Amino acid sequence: MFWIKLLSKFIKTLHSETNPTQIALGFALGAVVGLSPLFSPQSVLIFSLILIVNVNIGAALLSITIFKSVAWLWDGPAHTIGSYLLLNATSLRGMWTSLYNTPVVPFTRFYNTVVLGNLILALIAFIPITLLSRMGVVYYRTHLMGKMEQYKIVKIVKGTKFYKWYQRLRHFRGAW
Amino acid sequence: MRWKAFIAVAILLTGLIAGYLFLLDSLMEKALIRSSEAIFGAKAEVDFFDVKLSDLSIEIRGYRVADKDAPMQNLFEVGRMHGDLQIVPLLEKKIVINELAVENISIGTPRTISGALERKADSEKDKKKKKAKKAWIPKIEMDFDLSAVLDESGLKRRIEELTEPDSLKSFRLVREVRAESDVRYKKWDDKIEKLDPRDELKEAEAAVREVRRIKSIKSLDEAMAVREKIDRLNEARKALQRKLDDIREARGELKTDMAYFSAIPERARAAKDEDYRRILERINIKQFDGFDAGNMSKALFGPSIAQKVQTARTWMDRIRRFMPEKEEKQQQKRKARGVDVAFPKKKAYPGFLIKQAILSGETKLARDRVCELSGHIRGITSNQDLYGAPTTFLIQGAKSRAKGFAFVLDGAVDHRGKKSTEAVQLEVSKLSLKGLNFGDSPYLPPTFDGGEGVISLDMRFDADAYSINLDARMQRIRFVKRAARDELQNILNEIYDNLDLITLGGHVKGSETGTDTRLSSNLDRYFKEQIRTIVKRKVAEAKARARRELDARVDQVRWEIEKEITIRRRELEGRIEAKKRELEQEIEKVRTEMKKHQQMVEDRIGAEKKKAEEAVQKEVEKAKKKGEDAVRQETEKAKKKLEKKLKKLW
Repeated sequence: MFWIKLLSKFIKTLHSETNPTQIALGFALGAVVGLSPLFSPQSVLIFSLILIVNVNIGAALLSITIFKSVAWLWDGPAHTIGSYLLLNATSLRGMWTSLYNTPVVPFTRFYNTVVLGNLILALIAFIPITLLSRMGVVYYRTHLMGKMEQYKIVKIVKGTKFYKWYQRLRHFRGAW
Repeated sequence: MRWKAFIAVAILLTGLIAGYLFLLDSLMEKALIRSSEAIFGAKAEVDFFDVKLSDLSIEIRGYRVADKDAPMQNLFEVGRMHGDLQIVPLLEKKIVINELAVENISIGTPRTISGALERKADSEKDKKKKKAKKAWIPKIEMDFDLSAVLDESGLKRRIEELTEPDSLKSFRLVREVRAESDVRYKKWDDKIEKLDPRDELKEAEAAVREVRRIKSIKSLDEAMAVREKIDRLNEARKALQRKLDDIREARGELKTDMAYFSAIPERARAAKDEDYRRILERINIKQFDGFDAGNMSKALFGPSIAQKVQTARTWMDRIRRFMPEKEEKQQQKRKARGVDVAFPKKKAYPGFLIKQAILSGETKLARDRVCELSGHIRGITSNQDLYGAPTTFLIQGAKSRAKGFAFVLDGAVDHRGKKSTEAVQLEVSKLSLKGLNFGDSPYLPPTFDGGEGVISLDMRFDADAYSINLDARMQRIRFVKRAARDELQNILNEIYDNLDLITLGGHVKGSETGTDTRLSSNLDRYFKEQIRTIVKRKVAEAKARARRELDARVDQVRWEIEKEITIRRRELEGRIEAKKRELEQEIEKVRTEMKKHQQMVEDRIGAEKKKAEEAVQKEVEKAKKKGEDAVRQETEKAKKKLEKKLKKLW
């Protein structure tokens, strides 16, 4: 049910006049949150950024959900990267030690190989994800949206209370 | 930029922090329970856990840890613990408590629900670890298995097995004798049958009858005829005599033949002795004969001490497992996802540290003993290397009401550097022994009924090696007797009735390669003497039982056979004797008749001779007279002739 709601919300966002860059940025920031531990300081920080900066929240939520669900697929490479940085990169040891003994920082769990690896992966992939997402949104709106409008499911989605609520929220947010 | 979103973010952050603080109690409580369960291997519970951020204090009430080995009771229970958290380390995700007051500790309190943890199936790695640990456990065995000699039913069974008739030489001999008896009896039965004098007797009877018909002998002719009959009788007598001689000879042979059986009891006895010796060898009774109780304190207290050593070692293993691993791995901890790498700096706090725990209050010990407890534990930490000091403890206890009982437990757990060492010293004085368990040894009473003890224990674990020294003196002791199920129990009860003092000195030293246990006690000599007496008696009983069984199995049959042989011999001898007697009587009868008739014949012959002599005499006289007359006539005639001639001459 959650998935359907999230998906319908995203489809409606695609079908709206939302800026593709905002959607793409929302999706990319969501990916960073999705690859970070839930309730960690970095997740809270980036999620706050999503709320404050003018990026699409729906895309971010979908991205968080998707990346949280499949984050384990990256565990292998993430662990390798994290292990290298934490254990082998001796030049960074001073920095890690300093961070490790700085108040609050240990709550980020940066000292975990998978957590650090995922963060690095997410940061590296941030710009490609943004660009690809934007291109995808533009392509969808140009080539696929007309066809999609014909599908009964889209009509049903548009007719839901949720969609109407969303439209109102968009209108309200536009006023900010 | 959504400026109004700052409000939402502020609300979100406040909510998260509030939630975190709200959950901090339960998170720390869960961490305490999880680590306690990991260390003690049984359920841990906390009634109340509160962390106050206002004054950064922590308070725990009703902290209980179940006993892994007795899940229906608690290993210990702490009434209240309270202390102060340090704020800076908390922000570094570290728990540091300067001083933790620990009050009202109870030991061995009962539980309403089981404290056993659900056990996961052992992995191959765990199995290997357990196997390695098992190999390490010291094995202290009795030098001598007393149960072998005291196991009466077992011994009885063994003796019964060994006295199975087929395996006994004496029994086989008896069976051979029976067969031989049958053969010889048959032989003699036939032989005696063949010695039947019926024909000779008939002949003699006929001759006697014929002779008896002669009432008188009137003439010489008759005498001659009688003499012939007597000669026949004599022939019959001679035949009888020959038969009698045969029978006499047979009787002698029978005696010689039966002499074979007269040697049987002696042979059976020798065979039985041989069987007896073999049985004793087979049940190895010789080892009981030369019984040496050996190191009885090792036998009696060894298993119990081994158990205690094992328990101590298990505790050390648990403590070590809880402590971080050594060397470079110490900085890494495998998690469900990835590896946590620690980057501690010098003089930084470890992840968990209680600088000092102060113990106080009334403590309930096992068996509802109450004592005043005081002491401290210093340096309870997850990283001793970082903290730079070992965990040390000094706990003193004294009984509130009864004067005298006191204990001091002090020691150190040092896991710094590459090696782990633990040292524990325990001094107990005036320990009431009442109700104290003695262990599972069947040779010891189950519990003490009274008495007091002084115990001094010094344990040191150094990596995989350990050394334990024990000195104990128990005096004015009384025991709860075991129910007298058998004679052994009676004897042991009697031994323990007379025992007033036990001194025990022990030194157990070991490593993965082996264990060296040295125990000495006044019981060594005491038990040696007592048990030796018992063993001697038991050995004698076992021997007697073996002898009895053997006698019962062999003698019964032997007696029957001997009786049968005697009956048969007597019967055979009787039969021969009867025949002999019959023949002798007949011969006597024949002789009498012969004598009688010979006399008659001789009388007649004598009479006839006399008569003849008289007739001859008469004839001689007559001839003599006739001759004399003739001589006289001739003489006269010659004389006349001569006279004539003379006349002529003249």
